[in-house]
Amino acid sequence: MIVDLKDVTKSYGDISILKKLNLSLDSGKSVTILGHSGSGKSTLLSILGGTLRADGGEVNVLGNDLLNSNEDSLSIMRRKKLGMIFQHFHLINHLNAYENVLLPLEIDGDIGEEQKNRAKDLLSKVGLADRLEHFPSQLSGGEKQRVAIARALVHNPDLILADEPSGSLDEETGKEVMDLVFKLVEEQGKSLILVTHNKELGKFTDRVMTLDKGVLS
Amino acid sequence: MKLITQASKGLLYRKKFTLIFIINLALGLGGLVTLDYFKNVFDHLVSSRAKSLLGSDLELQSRFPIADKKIEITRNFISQKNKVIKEVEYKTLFTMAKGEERTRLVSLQTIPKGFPFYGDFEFDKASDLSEKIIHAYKDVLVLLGNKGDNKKIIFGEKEFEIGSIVLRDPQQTFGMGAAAPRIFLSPEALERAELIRKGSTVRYRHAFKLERELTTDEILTLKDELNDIAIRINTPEKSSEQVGRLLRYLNDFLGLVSLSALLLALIGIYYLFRAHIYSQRKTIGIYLALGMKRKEVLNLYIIQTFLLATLGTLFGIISSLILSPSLFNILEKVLEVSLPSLFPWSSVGLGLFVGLSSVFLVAWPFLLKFYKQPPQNLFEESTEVDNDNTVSNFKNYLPLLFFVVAFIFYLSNSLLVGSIFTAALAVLLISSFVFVRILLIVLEKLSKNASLEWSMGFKYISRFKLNSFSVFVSLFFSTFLLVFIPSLNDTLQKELDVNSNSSLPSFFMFDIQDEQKVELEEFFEEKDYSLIALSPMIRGRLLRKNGEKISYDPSKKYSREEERAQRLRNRGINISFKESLSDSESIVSGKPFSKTIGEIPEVSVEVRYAERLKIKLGDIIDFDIAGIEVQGKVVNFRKVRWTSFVPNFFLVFQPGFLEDAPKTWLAAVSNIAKEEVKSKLQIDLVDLFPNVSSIDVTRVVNRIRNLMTQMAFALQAMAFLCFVVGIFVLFALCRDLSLRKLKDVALLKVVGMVSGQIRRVFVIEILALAFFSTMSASIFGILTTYIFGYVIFDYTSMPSLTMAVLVPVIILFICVIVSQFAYKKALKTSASFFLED
Repeated sequence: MIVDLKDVTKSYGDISILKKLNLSLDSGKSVTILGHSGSGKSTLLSILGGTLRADGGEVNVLGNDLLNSNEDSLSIMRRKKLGMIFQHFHLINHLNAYENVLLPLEIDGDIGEEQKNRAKDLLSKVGLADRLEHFPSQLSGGEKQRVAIARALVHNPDLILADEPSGSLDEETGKEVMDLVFKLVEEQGKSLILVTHNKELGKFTDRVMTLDKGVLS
Repeated sequence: MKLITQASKGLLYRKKFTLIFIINLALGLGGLVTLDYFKNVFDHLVSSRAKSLLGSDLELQSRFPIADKKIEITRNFISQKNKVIKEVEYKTLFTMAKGEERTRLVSLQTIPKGFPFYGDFEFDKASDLSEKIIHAYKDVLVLLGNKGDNKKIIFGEKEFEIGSIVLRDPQQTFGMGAAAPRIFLSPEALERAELIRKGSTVRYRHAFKLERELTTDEILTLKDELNDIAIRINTPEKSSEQVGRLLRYLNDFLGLVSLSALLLALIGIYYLFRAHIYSQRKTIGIYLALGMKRKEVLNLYIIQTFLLATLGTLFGIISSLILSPSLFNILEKVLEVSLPSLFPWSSVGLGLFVGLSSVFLVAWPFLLKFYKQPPQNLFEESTEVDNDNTVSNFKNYLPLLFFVVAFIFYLSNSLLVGSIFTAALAVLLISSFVFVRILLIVLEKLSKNASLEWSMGFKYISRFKLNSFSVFVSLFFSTFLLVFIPSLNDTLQKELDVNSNSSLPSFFMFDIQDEQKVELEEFFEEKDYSLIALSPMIRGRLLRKNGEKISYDPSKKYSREEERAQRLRNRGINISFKESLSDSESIVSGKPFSKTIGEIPEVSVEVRYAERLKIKLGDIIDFDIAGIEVQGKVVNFRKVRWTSFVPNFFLVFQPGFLEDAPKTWLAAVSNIAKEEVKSKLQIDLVDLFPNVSSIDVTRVVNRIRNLMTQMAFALQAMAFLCFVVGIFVLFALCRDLSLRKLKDVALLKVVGMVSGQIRRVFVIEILALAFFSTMSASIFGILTTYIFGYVIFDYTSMPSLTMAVLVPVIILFICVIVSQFAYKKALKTSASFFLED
């Protein structure tokens, strides 16, 4: 099992966001988590990514007990096994498209021709072969998200966490981007947790769950 | 009112920013206000004492006895529209005085009854001047080695007794350990001393007390009516202007260094304000989206800027007012003068004007930019709002540029110094820009093959060009000033180091009469000491250059350099003649003197004197020597090493022409190591040649060295202020960068970088930039010191490298600490930064 959450709780002051939440996901599978704004979707994703600690319960992701791991081991987990895609792309503005994609590989260790070619291949796969040297400010919203997708996949992670990847894009571009995410995840046999409020996207994953009042159903 | 409340709340909410902004501006302004305060106090002191400095309303002064006819012309002229209330004659001269143990050069001034007309003496006890009783400062007795109650001193072969010790005389200027302490005596006592001989350096003075002071026009007319180039007309204004010229120069240069601090502070303000306004981007967008009018939003931020500028300025002014009394106390001790207490209204005004205007000129382009943006742009992540490198953006800063240049000229108080400073600033900025461009290209290339942290650090430098340039410039300026000023001081001190410079003579003699020359040479030969550069000195005055009259028009407004040139033209000059050059001089252009004398004798001119008077090779110059007009043709320019302290002259004639002119002789005496031998020699010299005056070169050199140390200390204090401001700029810059890097830090954490790695990236970024900046500034500082030393003093040794090594090391260390503080918040950014609902 790649993700195993048991009785996970998280509160902000008096407000309880997650109430004994349970979630499991097998390797190579995908799940869509639906929920309205403020339902705690992003909190859940943060806990899964190890960027936020749950208050209680058990959080096992990619074989790591996230509640009892230190900062550094969480970073190492992310650099080796996790890919993240955000609604607002979040590319590093002073790095060009190629450098943004290459970054996770550089963080993971020395890079050689093989890693460089992988970054280029991925950019090629997302349709940006001719945009390698372009900086984020020179790319459209859809193009930025394609770079972000390539960056999430470049280090061959086991799990992809996607937070509203099409949320900042127009309908057509959003669809193209999501098709790309699903296609690449399927091709490369990755697990995917997609957080969105768009019910339509649920059709493309193995399971659909709804987060409401802190509980997944 | 609502806007003011809103603006104040905004500042209170961002306490750290507000505090750093205020301190940064206050530091930048503090030095400037303090210096202006000092300048005003000093000007007030001098102008309030103008009349007592001269002692009269008008004075005729000459190196020769003033003819009765000339005094009559002056009386008649004054009586046309004014009235002479009193008039007296008095004399001043230098001579050697002998005491119980030593001899010493002193300055004698006769005090006729009723003089000075303005100001009073202060004595330890009352006593009258007589043929044998004189008044003197206590220094005289101390320097001559008189012990106990022995108040007897000898000059001109006669013994005198000090009746009263002078505590203060109205003509006293600024002490700083005068070269020749003053002795006051009656005209009868001077006559008894028999010191006045042909060619003695006596100044004859005729002072008038008038019903009112003469106007500039009247002085001009009087000058024409007197028609005597040997007579100088002194007025209270002129004498006060001459006093403390050196201090004014120092103050002007200090002003320029303090301006550097202000310029650095403005860079800091630019980044602080930029960080502030960008952090307000969404807030501005929300205000607009909520229906606030653009003008209202603009007004809100104008009020906020005004509040910041006012607080910073007031803090700077108040700090300066609090610190000034202690600084003035030190100055009073150094200058041996009591400074008047004066509230610095004009300095406060200057501080307010500069503080408010400069902040607005920095802030206005940002405010304007946001004013013009459609609200949706303010919500977007990356739009042209972030781009500061546009031509239109540069245009918005032109008013600031003009303001700075105008202020440079105001502070330097001189067209030449202002132009040099502006040009130097421009050259420094352009060359820094070119250097940084090259550096960025190199670092960009290096980043391709470097390890992750180095690569990221280099990319942050090479891809944030404007930020990198600003860090470079602010560190460059601070380092340069901190290396250059002490290194130059060190070089000058070495140049004037009597102990290590054996070529310096022990003393310098003047007023040697023609008939004493041979006897004096024999005296020194007997004692196994040689005379160096025994040279004739003839007094003369410049009349014409290539037939064109050289005259001074006091009604015209001259720049300081022009005034200096004018003074040189009008001043009597010392001329000499000799066949060959001494070791301390060399021909820089033109040819040596011909073997034979042509129709017009040849003349050699000191190169800087020629530059100031715009004299060219081949020019024909007319002189007045003892009432006879003499012509000379300029055949060469000489460079003189004045610090050799041997007789040297601005103008040297070919031999065989001026030999019969009335003259005295000057000479230096070779280095005498033992102080006792030197003292004994001087005593013997006074006994045999009572009219010959000698200056102890060691003492003069030490006095110059002390003065320079004090000047260098003042400059170093200002440079240190620049350094502190530079550190604030660095902090402001790092903070601006760190706020812009919050997202980067979170993202780097998301993709798996650990905090330690990210910290190293930022340390590498700031260290690499600081390294190149401080090292290049240090090298540049040393080179500039070398060039200054070489150009001014022909000093060819390498300047001391202590500061050049120490300053960059300290700055690099501080940079790491400052950047850690500035990046503290950014490094704490959670990886969940992007996932917050």
